[in-house]
Amino acid sequence: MNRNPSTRAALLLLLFIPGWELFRVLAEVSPVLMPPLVDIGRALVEGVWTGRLVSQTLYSLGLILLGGFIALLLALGAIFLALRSDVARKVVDHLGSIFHPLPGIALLPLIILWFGIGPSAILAVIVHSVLWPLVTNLQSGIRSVPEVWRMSAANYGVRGWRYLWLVLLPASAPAAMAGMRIAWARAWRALLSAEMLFGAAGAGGGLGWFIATRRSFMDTPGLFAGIIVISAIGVGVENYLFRTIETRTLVRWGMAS
Amino acid sequence: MTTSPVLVLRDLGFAYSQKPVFRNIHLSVGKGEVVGVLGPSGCGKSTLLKVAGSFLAPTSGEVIFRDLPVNIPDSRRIMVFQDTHQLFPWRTVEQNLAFAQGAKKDPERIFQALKEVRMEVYAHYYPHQLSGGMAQRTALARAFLGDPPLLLLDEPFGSVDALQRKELQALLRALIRVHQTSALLVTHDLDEVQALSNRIFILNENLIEVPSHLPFAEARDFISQALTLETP
Repeated sequence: MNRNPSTRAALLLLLFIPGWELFRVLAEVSPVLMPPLVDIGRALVEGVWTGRLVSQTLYSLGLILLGGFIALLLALGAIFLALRSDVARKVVDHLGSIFHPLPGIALLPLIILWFGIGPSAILAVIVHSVLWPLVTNLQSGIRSVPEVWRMSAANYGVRGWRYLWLVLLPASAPAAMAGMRIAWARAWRALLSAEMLFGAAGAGGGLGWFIATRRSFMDTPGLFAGIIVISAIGVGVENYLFRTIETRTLVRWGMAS
Repeated sequence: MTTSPVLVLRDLGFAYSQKPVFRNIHLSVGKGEVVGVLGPSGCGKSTLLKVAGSFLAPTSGEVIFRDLPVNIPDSRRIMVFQDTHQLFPWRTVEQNLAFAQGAKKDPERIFQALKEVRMEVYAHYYPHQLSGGMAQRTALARAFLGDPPLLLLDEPFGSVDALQRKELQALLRALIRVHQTSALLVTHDLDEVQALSNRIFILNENLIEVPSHLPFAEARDFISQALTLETP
């Protein structure tokens, strides 16, 4: 079998399309539960054409980018403090071990109490989902930076923020990349769940809200169109965005194969 | 060769959790002099070098650099390691040298430094694309870039094959001569220490100096006996 992931995905899709239609017709499944693929395709095109699906997608991606950026700044601040003081390092380690295993969605009731229902609550969930995987992975990456690189940096007088930026962060890039992958998966799931729970948070509502409303209106083709977009974004970020970043950094530097 | 010393290790001692590695070390390195410290694996050679570079604090005694006690690493005492992975893998050969220049970048000086070690055509290569010998040549170029008064050489060619080692030793000798640098070299390689050093010491908790008046073969016998090794 061809090992190319794109070819494998295309083959799987070619098998899936007739399989779906065959099952739907033979089992006489209601089109409300399992609409024809043509209807789903039409809903997808319509959603894109009218701009509704596009604006909801951009809204969700905007939130995740903003939350990710805030979490990244907080993670860098925490790592910097941890480098400066042993007490801060222990605090960051403990906070990481407490909050890292805690799913963002489990914090929703508390976040609703603190932030109310709206984009700020969703942002808080995203920040939580991104922050801890980043912090714990960066911490473990920094701990395993070889002594020769640390000593070389000290030898050339590189200290403080410059040491973090020029040596520790690139040296722990493989661990940071693993942390970013976990952070993305967690944040994406938490975002969609929060959007579905909170309803139209802010002006857009987001993709989670989009699929929740499609279900309310029994617009199953629209619901599937939303799911396809969510899945495509997940696959795109994992297989293309992260893969491209990895190829241009870790693979290029010989730090990953 | 013995002008005013660049480095003096005065009554130096070091212990890992109460267990002494070495003690009462007295050693000086003069300007343009290469002092070799020979010893078997695990005798504390690398630790001695780390203390001399202020990467580790001595448990007793002090490190004097150009007549002043020092206790933090600085770019006047550059360490070159055995590890061929000492270059930063995320930086090209050229960028690795630029790292040593700090904020004051001088591409022309970098080019000259690479030319000295015959690495100028590999300026845009990443370290993982280089052989062990090429990586060590780059490490030497980086070390000599700022004309440091003292090099701390930790078995710098221990990870390359015998043929490349000879070539690198010749290159190092030439660089030391051109840059008028002093060096403290630690190694377990008898040939290397004899090929590179003006004075040789044997480390075995204390330092024993190999008499400099001894001819090559006799010095070798002296060292072998001191290390209880057989002469090859």
